[in-house]
Amino acid sequence: MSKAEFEHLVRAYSAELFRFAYWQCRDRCVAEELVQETFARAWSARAQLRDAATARPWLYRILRNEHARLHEKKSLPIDDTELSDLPISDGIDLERDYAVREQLAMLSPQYREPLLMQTLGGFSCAEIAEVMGIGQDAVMQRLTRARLALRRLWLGEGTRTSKEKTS
Amino acid sequence: MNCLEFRRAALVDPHHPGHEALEHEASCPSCAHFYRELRMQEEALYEAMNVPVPEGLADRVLLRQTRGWRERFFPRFAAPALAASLALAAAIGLGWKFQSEALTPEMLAAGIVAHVEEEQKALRAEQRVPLARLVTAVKRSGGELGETPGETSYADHCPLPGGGAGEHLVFNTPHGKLTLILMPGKRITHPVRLDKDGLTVSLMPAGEGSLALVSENREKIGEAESWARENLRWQGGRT
Repeated sequence: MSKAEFEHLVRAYSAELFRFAYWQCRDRCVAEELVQETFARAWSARAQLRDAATARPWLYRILRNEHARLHEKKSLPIDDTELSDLPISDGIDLERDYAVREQLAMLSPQYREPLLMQTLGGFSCAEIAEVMGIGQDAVMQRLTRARLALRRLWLGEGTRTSKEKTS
Repeated sequence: MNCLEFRRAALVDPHHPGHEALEHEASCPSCAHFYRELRMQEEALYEAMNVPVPEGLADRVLLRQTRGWRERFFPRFAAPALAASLALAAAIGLGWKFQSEALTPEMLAAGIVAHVEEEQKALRAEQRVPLARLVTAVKRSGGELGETPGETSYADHCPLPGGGAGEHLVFNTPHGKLTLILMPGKRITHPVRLDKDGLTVSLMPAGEGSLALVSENREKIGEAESWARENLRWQGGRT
């Protein structure tokens, strides 16, 4: 990989990797450090990347490993996020946005990760399976469970199902 | 395809449930209702996931990497901002005597001036940074904050001369903009004041690292130092 190709990767994927990293740790500073480390390691290990088409899942894999490594080294400061520090989208219903973020944060990582990769990154189930090192069936099951869990939170625990509503 | 199969397919991938699933949805009011709700949920989910990306992230990644490339040919302290400084030129002239972690306070101060000059957007910003964010930034650097010298107009995580990262804060004070850069990993042997390019920088030890105060108002830098001593507390003592 040449320097120009590497720069292209950074410009193409740093934003989505930051978002993925943010949802891993919920800390913007740690997320940026994770992205920095991901690209540093990607450059060091560039000989391993034989096909440019697989660069994206490869970068996600590196980031996941970096996050796991960081967790081994120290406990991440994920509990001291100030409410006012939570990033918000412009012009969106803030209360709803905040509620959805909280719900998303309540998902365990094994369910949140594939959901992020699919919703943010547009990954297929096969690509998610490759990044996470699990089978496609497991990915599909996790995606289904994640959406069902969010749906329950979304509608409220005691709410009737959509089938009940329409019948 | 029946209703159960449709919902299973829609929950796995709401945007691409497949041709058969969409055919079923068109003919089943109950599943159509479920699908509408699911897509609304997906839209909200995407908005929530789509957190703002820090400005200049890609540039900072490339900056750090460029530094890595340059390190093959120059000492590690040759950060782009510092490369232009006379201090660095002098150091190179001395025969590559110093290594990155051994930046002298004078060289670090010169690097800070270059950094502030490069980050003009920080001085121009009027972000109205919430106090909680400021407190968090100081806490992240291992300190505690008392009173602020004015309204915070900018706060961000930034790369530092010679490597590492710190907190870059700017305050609106009655005497103009005051920049505070917290550098938790940068130990210095002694405090330093440096006047360069119309800026005055004061480098002070702070906890396990150091901090830099930068002002265009040379006369008021002493006042800023007093503020820092009184209002920034670090584990193991004051600034």
